[in-house]
Amino acid sequence: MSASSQSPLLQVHDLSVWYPAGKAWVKAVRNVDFEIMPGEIVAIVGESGCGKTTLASALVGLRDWRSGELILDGNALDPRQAKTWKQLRTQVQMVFQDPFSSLNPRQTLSEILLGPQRANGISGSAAQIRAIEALEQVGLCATDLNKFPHAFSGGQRQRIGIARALALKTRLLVCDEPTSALDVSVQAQILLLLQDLRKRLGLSILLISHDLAVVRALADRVMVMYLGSVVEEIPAAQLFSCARHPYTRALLASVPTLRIGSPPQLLVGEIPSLTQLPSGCVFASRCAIARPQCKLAEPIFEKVAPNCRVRCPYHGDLA
Amino acid sequence: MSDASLLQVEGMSVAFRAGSGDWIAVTEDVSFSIARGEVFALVGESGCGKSVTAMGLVGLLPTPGAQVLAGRALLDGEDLLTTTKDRLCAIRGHQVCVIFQEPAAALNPVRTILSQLREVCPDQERIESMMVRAGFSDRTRVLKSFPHELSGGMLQRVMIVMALLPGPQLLIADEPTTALDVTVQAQVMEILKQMCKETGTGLLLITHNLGLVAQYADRVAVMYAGRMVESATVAQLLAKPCHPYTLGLIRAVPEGHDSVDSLQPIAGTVPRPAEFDCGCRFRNRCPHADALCIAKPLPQDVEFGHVVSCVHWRAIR
Repeated sequence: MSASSQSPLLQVHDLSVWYPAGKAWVKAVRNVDFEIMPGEIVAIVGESGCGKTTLASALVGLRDWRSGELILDGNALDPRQAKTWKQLRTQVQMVFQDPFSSLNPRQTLSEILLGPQRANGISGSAAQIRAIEALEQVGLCATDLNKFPHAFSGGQRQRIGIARALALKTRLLVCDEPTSALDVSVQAQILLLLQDLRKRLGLSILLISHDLAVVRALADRVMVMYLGSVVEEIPAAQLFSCARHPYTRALLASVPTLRIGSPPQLLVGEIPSLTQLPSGCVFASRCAIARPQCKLAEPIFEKVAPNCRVRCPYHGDLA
Repeated sequence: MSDASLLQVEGMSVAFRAGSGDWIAVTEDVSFSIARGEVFALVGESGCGKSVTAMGLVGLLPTPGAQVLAGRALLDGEDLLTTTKDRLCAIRGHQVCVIFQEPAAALNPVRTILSQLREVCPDQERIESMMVRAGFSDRTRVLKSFPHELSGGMLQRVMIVMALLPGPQLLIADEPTTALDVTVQAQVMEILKQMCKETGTGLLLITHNLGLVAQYADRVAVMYAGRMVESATVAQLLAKPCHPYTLGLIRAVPEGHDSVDSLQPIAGTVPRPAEFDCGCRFRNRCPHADALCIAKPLPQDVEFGHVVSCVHWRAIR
């Protein structure tokens, strides 16, 4: 857990990402504020299409920003300039969901780990040493350098993906569903590794996930997204006990648990289209406590407790 | 349980042909039974043989690369494993139907939902009533739609309708909700279970998600490296897992953990089929393993309906 006296590693204000869809726009991410402290693990959760992956890609410069400010270590950078992202490349790195498609099958581990370094001006024995260090940090060893990805299991490949980011001495790891392609016993290994890297290296981690139990166990803070905007922000320790937004509640209630006799609760209704967002609260069409006035204006993102913000003025109606 | 048994699988083994031309057994001695209206779950991690077993039952293994080596699978007294290809073809889509993981890949993209459902059952009234039962409030629009116009959850519900239209005795659902969001998963599973109970259809649910098993299955078998290691009612398995692998699987689920520090991953890796020997296949990862584990573990009764294949089961936990 980061000390409050520290200043954020990365801050983003008012980020929007729109995709063109014919004459319309798909507003995938709408006016999101985000910050992460050194050594902090922040999770973003939500259903498919809520914008969590778009947000992650935007933070590593893989999407064009429609609007937004980017602040690294207190210095404002211009997200529309290529050199900003060049500069950020060694600070912020991404780990992808599918460890099979995110590693080039025709490159050895050595090439996989040296390539990104070469692109960032690190070569020779310095790069070699970093590659070995990174491999050891994820629990692999120097003798693996000449092997190809096919020699490794899914969990090991995901370690290689993490090592590729660590070789650049990255400070923020953006992990997009890092364990959803893995079996549950292997998933636990990767989660423990991420926790360990945070402790040993002071790494910040942005974790994109749809698995609320994973988020609860690994993250410090959780942001819940629905249709492109953040509807709730809450410390992970309070996620299961104190979630306030009706959408967060519905999400929590729909997870099948190992407790027999507590069946998942159904969330009714279809998700509105991102090209034709309804006016007012975008969750109103599926909300159990919606009132007529919810459709009039989009609710503000209001601070309701320390470190807790929620985008629903009527959350008190939920017991 | 067995008196109303719909499907009885005994000693089923499946082999794949390796690059060298040798046949390698990937599943061995798999036995279970499913009663009418029962939800039976087959759980395990990737490569444990759960899908291979299910596909072997209905003759959908890739040929000539795979074959059923041994065993019987009696559906209402008829052996699915030795029957002719033509007969199996008649059984599939009538007595036994399958729902696959990826609904978008299972539907024809250039035909409407209605025309695809009609192929299975020409009776429009039956189609409409099943659509209502599957929770479609605007069935007229959905029936006129093409697959790309519907969401993943809707497509999977269409697949459920399609699979249940012929009134099958047995439905095989292979990871039916893995491609769906949890909110949609709850809805799809609820409908699937409800419709099977109503029609008395037996459901073979293939999944890796223990939460789904806990919530929707009646009985469960855990598979590891091609063998069934434990089978029980869901309540028995969750209350008293007796195989070290089952216990490891349950402990690796992050549910209820306040911190990842208390998670206990299973160390080591699953042996590959070429490395299978007759001893316990979990022994290289098992904290209880000793010299006894080199012999083939025989199924032992824990209590009525609960069978485990581990010599050390009394010492587990």
